[in-house]
Amino acid sequence: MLDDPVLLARLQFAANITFHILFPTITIALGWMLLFMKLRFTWTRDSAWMELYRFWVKVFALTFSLGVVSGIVMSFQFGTNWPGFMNTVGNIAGPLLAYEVMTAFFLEAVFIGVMLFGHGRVANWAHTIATALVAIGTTLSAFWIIALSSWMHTPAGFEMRDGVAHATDWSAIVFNPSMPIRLAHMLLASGLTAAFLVAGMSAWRWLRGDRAPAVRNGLRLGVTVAAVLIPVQIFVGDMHGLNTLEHQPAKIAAIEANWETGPHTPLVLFAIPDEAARENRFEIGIPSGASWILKHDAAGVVPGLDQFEERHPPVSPVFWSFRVMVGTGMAMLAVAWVAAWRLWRRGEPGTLVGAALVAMTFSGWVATISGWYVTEIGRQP
Amino acid sequence: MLATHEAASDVPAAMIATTFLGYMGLYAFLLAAYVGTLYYLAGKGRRTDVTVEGPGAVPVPSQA
Repeated sequence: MLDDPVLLARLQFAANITFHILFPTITIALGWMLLFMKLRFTWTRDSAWMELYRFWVKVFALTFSLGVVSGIVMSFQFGTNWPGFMNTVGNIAGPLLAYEVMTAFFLEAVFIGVMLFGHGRVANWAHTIATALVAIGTTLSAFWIIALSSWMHTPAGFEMRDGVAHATDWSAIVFNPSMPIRLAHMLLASGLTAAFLVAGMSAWRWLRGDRAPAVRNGLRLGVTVAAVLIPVQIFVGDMHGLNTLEHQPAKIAAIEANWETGPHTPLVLFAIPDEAARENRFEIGIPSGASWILKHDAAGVVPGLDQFEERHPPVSPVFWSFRVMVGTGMAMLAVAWVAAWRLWRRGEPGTLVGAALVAMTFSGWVATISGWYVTEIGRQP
Repeated sequence: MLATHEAASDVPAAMIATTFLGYMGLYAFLLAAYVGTLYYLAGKGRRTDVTVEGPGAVPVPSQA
């Protein structure tokens, strides 16, 4: 393994983007949650909201700085690890990365100072606007990065001249076929990551006996956002799957570990895919399940890996990453709804639900990383 | 379609392996420090010095 430069370059880049995504996936949504806290304080004058804001703005600053630093390493690795890629598509990737810096990063970098240190030093409305601009900046940043990532999956609006991509339609490049649904999926993932972080940390404080109003507000905010977003995410995830089926059927075949094209394709819940034998071992599946989900018809024909001999992604990593993502999502649904019901009925989480929320504090990271592994490993070869 | 091996650099494998291990060590340290800091901040407990202005303000009650 250690003498294969392509594999090592993949591992190194994967390690970096894995580390990097941990932080933006929090800040994108935490910025909006901070704005909500600030607006609640402004409207109610309840200092518990400002106390909550002051705690989470420190977390935001720490997370933002780690995201920026790891992002810089990633931009260097585009050149050091994948010079052939940047030589080929630099005309597209370069401007999209520059738009992110110009429109999003500058906005965040300028106003995060006011957001962090401005309360009591600038007018309340100016501090609130700074918080809003930072939230908009984090989302704009996600917009441009997802535009580039999606373009790598479903390229559009360009022509190849002498082996180099040249832009012909920037609108088609930015809003390429998989971009809108991927952006929605990522923004919701960020919302869930931040929601479970807020709920989990608040539950941890609650279980330690901290009954401050800010802790109660954090608990209610995190659980409510999680309970609302998770069913939306499941719906959007299904739409993303249908989009992938249309544009990247080999990835779907790997996700389903479906070796042969045909109708009545089972939904494989568990299996050990064997690429050498091109079959699944110890398979447990729901008959016609994949046909029903992907074609909304039990007799629907689902593309199999037999259509992509030697041109499909490695099956096991994609298959397992997808199941980790979905499994984490189901756990999120269960914990968020039980916690919401408990808070609604009794006003407090209780020991068991509180412990479950603490256990799920970083579940958003697990789901986001496994989801990106499905997306990016599924793009191979 | 541009395959991954066509886009890779010609940097020696040993050099990539060395920097990869360096990154892994650094990221493990930073991640542990990040999570530790979160729980340190949370464990410090509640603030009682929040400035609240204007009529109808609800002050933070004293710590039990």
